[in-house]
Amino acid sequence: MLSGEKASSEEITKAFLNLAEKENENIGAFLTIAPEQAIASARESDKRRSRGAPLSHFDGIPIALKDVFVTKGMRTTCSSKMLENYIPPYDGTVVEKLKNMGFIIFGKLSMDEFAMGTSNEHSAFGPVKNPWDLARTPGGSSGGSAAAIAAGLTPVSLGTDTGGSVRLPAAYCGIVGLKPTYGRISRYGVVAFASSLDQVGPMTRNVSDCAAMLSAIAGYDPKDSTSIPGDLPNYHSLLSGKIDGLRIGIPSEFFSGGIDDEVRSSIENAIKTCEKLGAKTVSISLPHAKYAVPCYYIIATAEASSNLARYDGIRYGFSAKRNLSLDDLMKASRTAGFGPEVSLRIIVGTYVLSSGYYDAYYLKAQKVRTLIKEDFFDAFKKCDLIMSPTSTSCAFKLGERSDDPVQMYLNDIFTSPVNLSGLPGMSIPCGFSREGLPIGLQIIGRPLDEGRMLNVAYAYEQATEWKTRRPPI
Amino acid sequence: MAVWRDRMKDSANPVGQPISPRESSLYRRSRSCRVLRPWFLPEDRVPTPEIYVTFRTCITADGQFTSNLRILLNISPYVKRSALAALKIGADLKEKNIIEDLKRVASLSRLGFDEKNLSILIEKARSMLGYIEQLNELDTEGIEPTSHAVQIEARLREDSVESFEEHDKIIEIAPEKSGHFVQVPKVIDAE
Amino acid sequence: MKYEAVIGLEVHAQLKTRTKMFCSCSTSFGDRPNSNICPVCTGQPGTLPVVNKNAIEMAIKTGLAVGCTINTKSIFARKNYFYPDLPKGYQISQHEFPLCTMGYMDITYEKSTKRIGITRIHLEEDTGKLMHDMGNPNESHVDFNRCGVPLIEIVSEPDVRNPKEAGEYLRTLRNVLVYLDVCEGNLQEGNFRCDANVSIRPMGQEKFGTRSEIKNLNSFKAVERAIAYEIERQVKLLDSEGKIVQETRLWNDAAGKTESLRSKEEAHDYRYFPDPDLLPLKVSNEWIEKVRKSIPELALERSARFVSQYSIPRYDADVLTDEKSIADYFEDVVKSGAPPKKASNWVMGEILRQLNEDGSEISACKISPAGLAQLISLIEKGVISGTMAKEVFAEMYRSGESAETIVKTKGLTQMSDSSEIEKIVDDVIAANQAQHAQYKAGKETIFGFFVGQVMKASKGKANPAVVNELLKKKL
Repeated sequence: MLSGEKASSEEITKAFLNLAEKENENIGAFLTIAPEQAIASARESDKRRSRGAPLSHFDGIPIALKDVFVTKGMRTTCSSKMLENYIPPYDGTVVEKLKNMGFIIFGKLSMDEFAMGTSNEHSAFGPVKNPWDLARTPGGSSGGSAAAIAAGLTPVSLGTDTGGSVRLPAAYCGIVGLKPTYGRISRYGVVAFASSLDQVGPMTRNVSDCAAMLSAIAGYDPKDSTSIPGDLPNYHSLLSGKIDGLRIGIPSEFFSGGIDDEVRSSIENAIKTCEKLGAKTVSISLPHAKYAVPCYYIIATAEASSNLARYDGIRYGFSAKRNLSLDDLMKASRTAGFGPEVSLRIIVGTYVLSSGYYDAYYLKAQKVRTLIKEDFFDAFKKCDLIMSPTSTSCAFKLGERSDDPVQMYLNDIFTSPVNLSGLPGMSIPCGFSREGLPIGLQIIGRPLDEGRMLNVAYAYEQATEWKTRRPPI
Repeated sequence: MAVWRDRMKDSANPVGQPISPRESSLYRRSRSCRVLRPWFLPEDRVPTPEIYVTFRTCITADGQFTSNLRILLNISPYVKRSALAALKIGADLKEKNIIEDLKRVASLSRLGFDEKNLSILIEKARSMLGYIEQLNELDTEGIEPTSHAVQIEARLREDSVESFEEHDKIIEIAPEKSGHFVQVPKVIDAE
Repeated sequence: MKYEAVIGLEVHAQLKTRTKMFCSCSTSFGDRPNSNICPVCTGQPGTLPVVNKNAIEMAIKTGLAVGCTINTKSIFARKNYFYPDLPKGYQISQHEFPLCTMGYMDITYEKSTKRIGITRIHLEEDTGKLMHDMGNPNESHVDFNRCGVPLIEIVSEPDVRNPKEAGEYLRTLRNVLVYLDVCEGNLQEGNFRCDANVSIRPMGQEKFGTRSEIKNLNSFKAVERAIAYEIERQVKLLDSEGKIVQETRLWNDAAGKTESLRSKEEAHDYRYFPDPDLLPLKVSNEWIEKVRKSIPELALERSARFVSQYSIPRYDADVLTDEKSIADYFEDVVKSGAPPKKASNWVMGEILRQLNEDGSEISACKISPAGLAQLISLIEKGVISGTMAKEVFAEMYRSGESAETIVKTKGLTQMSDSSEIEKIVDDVIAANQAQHAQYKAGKETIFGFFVGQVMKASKGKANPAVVNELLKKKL
């Protein structure tokens, strides 16, 4: 990928570092920029490649990661005061893979605090702005990653997707974002939000890069008990661009109402383009999908309330002033360390698990989850892939939805059913609104069928011009 | 006939009491999926949590429903007001419990807010919980819960030691430490 | 008795695995504080648990040994609460679906056997260690070495009815665990912990009374004393129209009473739910059978076998099988050729006595089973006398040399040649005419004096049987 003749890794890395410094005022995507570590790694990479011994064909490529990935010796904050000064003592598996391939990790990107949010407005260190319109959100929770790629501040990035957090910002920022089948990519070293829903997802400018990144980081990890064993296909080699005879399912419920007209027409045009390329459309029904958002919010908040119990000011992270009793110390550290959205979700999550309510909420949600999953499996008997809008609208204005939590949660309406079912899903650009805001098309595949999904996306991308457009900044 | 048997152990909460077979005949399944609808509700009217609450308050403990029900729902302004009053009683009762529970839960999660911030938080939490109530529309009798999205065999780990070399770093990043130990305020209850 | 005591016992036993339950840190005891830790067992952000196969196997073994059903599918659940020795803010345990259910333990109590039911056995991880009074009175210190060590929790049915039964149950259970080699069974080191749930009810009543949970029981005796105290306390309370509160009480060994823990603001709500980071644990029937075959003979069975196979008394068999290592030793001695009853006498008598005196284990004993067998055969053959053998034994124990070597070097071979002994006898009689006369006159007890003199003259080497015979003849 990085052909050494044109430029050295050091030069490229320095260029990105400068850009990051300059543009951060405007967009606010970066939380940590690590010049010394990056330049040192870049120099190592140049040495390796001049010897003819690159670690991989990614050797020397700079990358900035969502600040949810644990990076040894490099601050990892999850956009929270709780971890504002946390320097991890270890590398996560995906980070280790990146380093072993020679990627140069030069910075960490902003996100919604602990991945809880759909607009990147819930960061303790300030919101991120959408490069297409600085008055609007980039989506969340991987808003920093999406904005950085759209603005050209990093060639590729990784985000995490729990209810839509890779696909939604990808749609709002006009880039490609993919969430693999649950268990496809290791979660060891990814700060946990909702363990049964979280997945790492590559975020890139185009489908080809996305396939390459997926091959690079996916695969079985013995340190993650939920990771899927078995061989990985070479996703890049599956991008033939041929989609003749492919059956695309169109869920009637996802097109019934509440979608902006421009979004609807873009999606319909995109589907027509796919039909021109040889695919067939089939009408399918996902009758329980409308219960996905409440179901998601019960399961995700419950698991989060437990996953965030480790932040108590004792072993790491923010700790309140001493001279307090133990309980008061924990209370003070947590209350001051967590933002309001995180506290809200912890309270709701604890409530739905508490004695007397477990059956009615958590257990009930797990059963509804089964119903939602079964809908998809029934649909996949009639089609190979499912297409829908990624969201009901384009990027909304900063502050527009932040007061009403339920309004915010409805941003996940098309994406959360995919997480609940453990299926792979991706978002690709499929048009622009009159105001020049990107619109995203969601493609959902069968379990472990990322290859077919990427191929359709590739075919569509090649037939259209969307990926060439750049934001005005 | 679909029977909605999920129960909340909090007996003061009107929604979620067990339904007797007699009562179950008051519900029928939606045509497309497992949504339970009170029999009187037209197909195009979306059942909301409030409707269930009202409905339940007209059902006595042993599953009989009062003949007031039909009258209640005949839309005369006076009756509508009564219906709303009944709704409010049920809702108020539920509300009081929710607020108490949320306060208790905040303490359980080691979150100590002052009164003002706590009320804001509780308001938002209530709104979220109200939204989540939708799930009660679904009949999940006999459905297996999904706790793991992936259906694979668990891989177990061999019992051989692999030391983490930099264990001292782990103690180094602790906010308060003493020698090799992490330090905490004195723990009173020794268990 | 107006009331009947109903007692349930909970045991937490640390498994003897090399690594912790969910990470590969060493479980070795007594290492430098916070040296056996890693990101997983200290709950660093982003870490995940991975189950230790050997821990599962040990738990299955334990379950099978106490007649449990091994559930082929069980689920790990999170038990959520805040405490400084619990890094993740939750403990990974098992709740609704444990690994083993419905077992039992037969105990011998007052010469009869009683069956105590075992409700369940499940796996969980241990917490770190909190230390107080390390200098600063306002601070406590945490050591995470122990955090994550595998534990099995064994819960008994409330079948125990008095303190002695409780002690017997715990002793028997501990022996089983040690026999299976799944637990060290050392209460002082904290790898075998017991809590007791005690309640009383009027005789004949079916419904259980309110129970209190007793903790801080650091020895079997403490368990018995604490339960006895608690029963009395509850009886007194009920008799004086008081009400028994469901609470946790700590046993104060020095004061000899249970004390209520300072009341907490709210009862624990652990909010158990299946751990999403761990898939359901599936245990195949093949694996269970394989483990079943690997279970060694347990104490009770072994004792019965000793009685029937070796024709040794029940008492001997019980003493020998009380500890697996002693029983193994004994069988090795017999396999090396020693007659079982003699072997039993020597092991129970001399070996155990020496070990108790030194406070050491049989594994450290310098006398090998074959060596002891050799000593016994020397006595049988008459090469040395019984008294001499004791001296030889002491030397063997001290130096580790073989019986034969010691006998040769010290020249302790028993003199059995009649003519030689006869010579000494004659000499002795000649030297002690007065006593001879007394004997002839009828003082029979003087015989012993002559025996003694002959033995002295022969430096203890004379064969006592021959000496007796000759003396009888000559006197």
